[in-house]
Amino acid sequence: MSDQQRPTRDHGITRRRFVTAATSASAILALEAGRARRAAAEDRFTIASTGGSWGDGIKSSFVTRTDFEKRYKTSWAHSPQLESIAMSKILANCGTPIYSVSTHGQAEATLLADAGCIVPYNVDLVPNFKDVQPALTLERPGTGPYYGAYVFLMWALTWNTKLARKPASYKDLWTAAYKGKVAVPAYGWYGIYWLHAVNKLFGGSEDNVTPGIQAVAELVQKNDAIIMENVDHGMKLFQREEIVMAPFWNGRTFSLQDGGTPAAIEYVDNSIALGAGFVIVKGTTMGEVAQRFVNDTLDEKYQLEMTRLFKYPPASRKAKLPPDLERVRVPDREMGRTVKLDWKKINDHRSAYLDRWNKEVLGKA
Amino acid sequence: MHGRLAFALLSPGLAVLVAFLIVPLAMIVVISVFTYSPTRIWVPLLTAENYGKFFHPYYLGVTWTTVKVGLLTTLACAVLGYPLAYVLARMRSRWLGLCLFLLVTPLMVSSVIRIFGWLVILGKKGIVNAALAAAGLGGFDLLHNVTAVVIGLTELLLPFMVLPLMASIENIPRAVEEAARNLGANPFQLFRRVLLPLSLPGLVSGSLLVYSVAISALVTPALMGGRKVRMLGNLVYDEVLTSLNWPFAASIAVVLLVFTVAVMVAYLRTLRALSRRGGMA
Amino acid sequence: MKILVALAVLIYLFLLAPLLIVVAVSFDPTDGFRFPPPGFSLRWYVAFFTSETFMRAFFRVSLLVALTVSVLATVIGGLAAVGLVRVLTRGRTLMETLFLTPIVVPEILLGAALFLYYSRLKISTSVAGLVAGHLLLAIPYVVRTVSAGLVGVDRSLEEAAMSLGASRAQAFWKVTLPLIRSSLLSAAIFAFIVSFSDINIALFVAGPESVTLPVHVFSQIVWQADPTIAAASTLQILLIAALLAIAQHMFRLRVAL
Repeated sequence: MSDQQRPTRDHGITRRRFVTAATSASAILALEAGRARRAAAEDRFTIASTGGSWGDGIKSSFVTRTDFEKRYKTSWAHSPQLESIAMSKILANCGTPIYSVSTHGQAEATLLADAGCIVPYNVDLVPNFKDVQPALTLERPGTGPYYGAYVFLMWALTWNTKLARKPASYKDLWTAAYKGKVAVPAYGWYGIYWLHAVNKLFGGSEDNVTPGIQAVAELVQKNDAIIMENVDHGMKLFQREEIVMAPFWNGRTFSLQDGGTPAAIEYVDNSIALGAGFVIVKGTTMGEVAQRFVNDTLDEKYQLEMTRLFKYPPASRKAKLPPDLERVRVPDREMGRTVKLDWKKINDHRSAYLDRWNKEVLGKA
Repeated sequence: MHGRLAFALLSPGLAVLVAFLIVPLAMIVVISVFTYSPTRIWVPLLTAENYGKFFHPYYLGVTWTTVKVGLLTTLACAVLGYPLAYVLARMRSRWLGLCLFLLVTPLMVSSVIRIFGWLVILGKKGIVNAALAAAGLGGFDLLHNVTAVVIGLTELLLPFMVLPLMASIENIPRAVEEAARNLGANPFQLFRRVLLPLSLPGLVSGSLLVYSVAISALVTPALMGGRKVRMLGNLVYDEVLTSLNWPFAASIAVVLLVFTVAVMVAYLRTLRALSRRGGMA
Repeated sequence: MKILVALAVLIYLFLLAPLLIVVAVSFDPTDGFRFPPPGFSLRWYVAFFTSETFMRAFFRVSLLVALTVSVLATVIGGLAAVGLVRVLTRGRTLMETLFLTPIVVPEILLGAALFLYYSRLKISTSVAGLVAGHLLLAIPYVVRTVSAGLVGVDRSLEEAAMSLGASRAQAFWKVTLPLIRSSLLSAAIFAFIVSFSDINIALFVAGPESVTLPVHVFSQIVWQADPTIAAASTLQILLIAALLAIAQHMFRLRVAL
């Protein structure tokens, strides 16, 4: 094996690779600066939502049962992904979308609207909008409504009826007797919203989150609260009796009950009225179908299927629940106890407060 | 001629890397110096702010935890993996295929469901605590610490150590072991003087794989470690998906990459020097 | 030796204990994730088999992609390993490190970057893009595993074959390749598993036609939790075991000495 021949060749490879990397890096820089646009938009009516059985529920409630294909004479596709990823994809491809409609909570919908990547509802084509619970709608002065929820996701306080006492407020989580047996949602899950809700309970506002941060820090550090990463994690913690109280969903609490865990939900002060609703992505070539699809999702008779499947109450005020599902309804009185959150400010502070959460809530021993 | 042959053999792999890694990596590096924007994810204004943000005790602490967990997991995999690799390498039975398969089963299922199994075993109301309760103790929080994360990762990553090690040990002729035994070597001497040096390539490959995967772990530290064992993967995940601060996430990735590559290069160079001294190819 | 075997058995118990619990829970008739389960029911298996979403994700996406990635990665990575170990000596450390780089980059960011890259190039998200992303993850494992196996093979065996008249390629194909069979098999298995179980790249790169099973399982966790995923996991193990048994039979790959 000759040593003379090899060195040049290896250097050749190295040099070539370096040049490739440098050219691609400059190409990227140029592309990012110019924000190159895609030419083609979506080719079929594409619905973006979380996958798994939630996605199946959406398909069966709002596509199969509404006779979508027959009524709108168009084919459709379902693109399952995490809502936050769908949101980033819409932002990254603003104006030349890969989806026609996408489901989100209020905060994400507000972000998309502020970024100019969605179009408003046409109230003539979406007459059902007026029946949606006002707390679960979003409107822009000037351009009108752009978001209406189809399910009501109430984030309140879930507790184990055998191992804990009925809570009067979120503040019960701080009870020393529950040390190590409570949980809080991770910031990256619904902790971001719960932080703001608790913050207001302790006197803060969206621009001043210090009371909330300090309170949650104490809960996590002194009362050994576990950080819940997602629904599955929370449910398992309740089912295995690792926790006895935690901020959690209404629908999932009913699931816990059905599975045999003695859980109950308390709609305490500063509970959060969250929703899941469809936004219409800007640049979709199927705008009219999108509007009508959204109208179908706001129709209470189709919403009932979601309620039946997932135990979350429908978002339409006209919905009449069958007797066996009456328990999932949020009483009007409790609606008054929900907290009002400024979604735009929450979005603006996403990164800054994550930083504070990391350093002050999770960071200290 | 050899240079051209080398290039020919390496070029498909290099093509994949250049086409699908180099450019996205270049993008990540470029994004790491752009400015974060809440509604646009980033704007192309150059800034060193993201790297500056990283040099704070919290983030440096997370980096240290990540390295620590990586090293401990590699060590655990080496210690547990070597006996397993030896037994499997010397096994003549037809059950070998099944044994290998069982070894990789933890990799096949979603980490989330696998860790549920650990919750049942190590949770406060879990099997271990129940057994301890029978003896009058119990109620310990066995999760939410570094040990739990290392246990969870070792279970997952053991095959990455065992399989390369096994391949290395298979190449050591039994005659060599027998000769050593006949010359009076006890098991420890056999291991230290014969097996270990000859199986070094497998150990090196295994360590590199285990370490690289361990430091980018996400689900295991989140569910088994809790807030006290946060790793860089968790940070990046939150920044990408929740705060949409891709510039900061990119800077974390670049720091992680540079640091790990430096460690790997040092590791590989040292081991090559050691094996050359040991008389290996 | 007996002590080692006993130790090996204990280690296997450690590895498999959580999975045994998962399998047990998949038969729980309620969705309470009870261990030990209060009864026996196949309802979650039925739920899995009757869900078009899960079945499609498993068979038509995950399995196909993983098989493709496994074959491609083993070939590409195998060639690279030969180049690295046998032919290259200058710049070897650099190359080895380069081939390990994909697994050091946090996957979620790599997925996001790949997504941006594909959309800038106007490539629609499809199975091909997913295969490419998974190849990126799988090749390092293949290179490392095959390298480890190759380094231990005695070159004099090849040289002996060549002195008997074989060409270099023939000597490699007939002598060395059979000796690194188990490394190649391990590498193929790793590549398959890495692709099958990947979630972070698939989250960003998968489109409507290419949603993998892990994405659905993860979605399931985000909105609810029922033992369908326990059933899915058990089935994953069983089905892949069946595949490997078939493969082992077909290629008569005896890994014993």
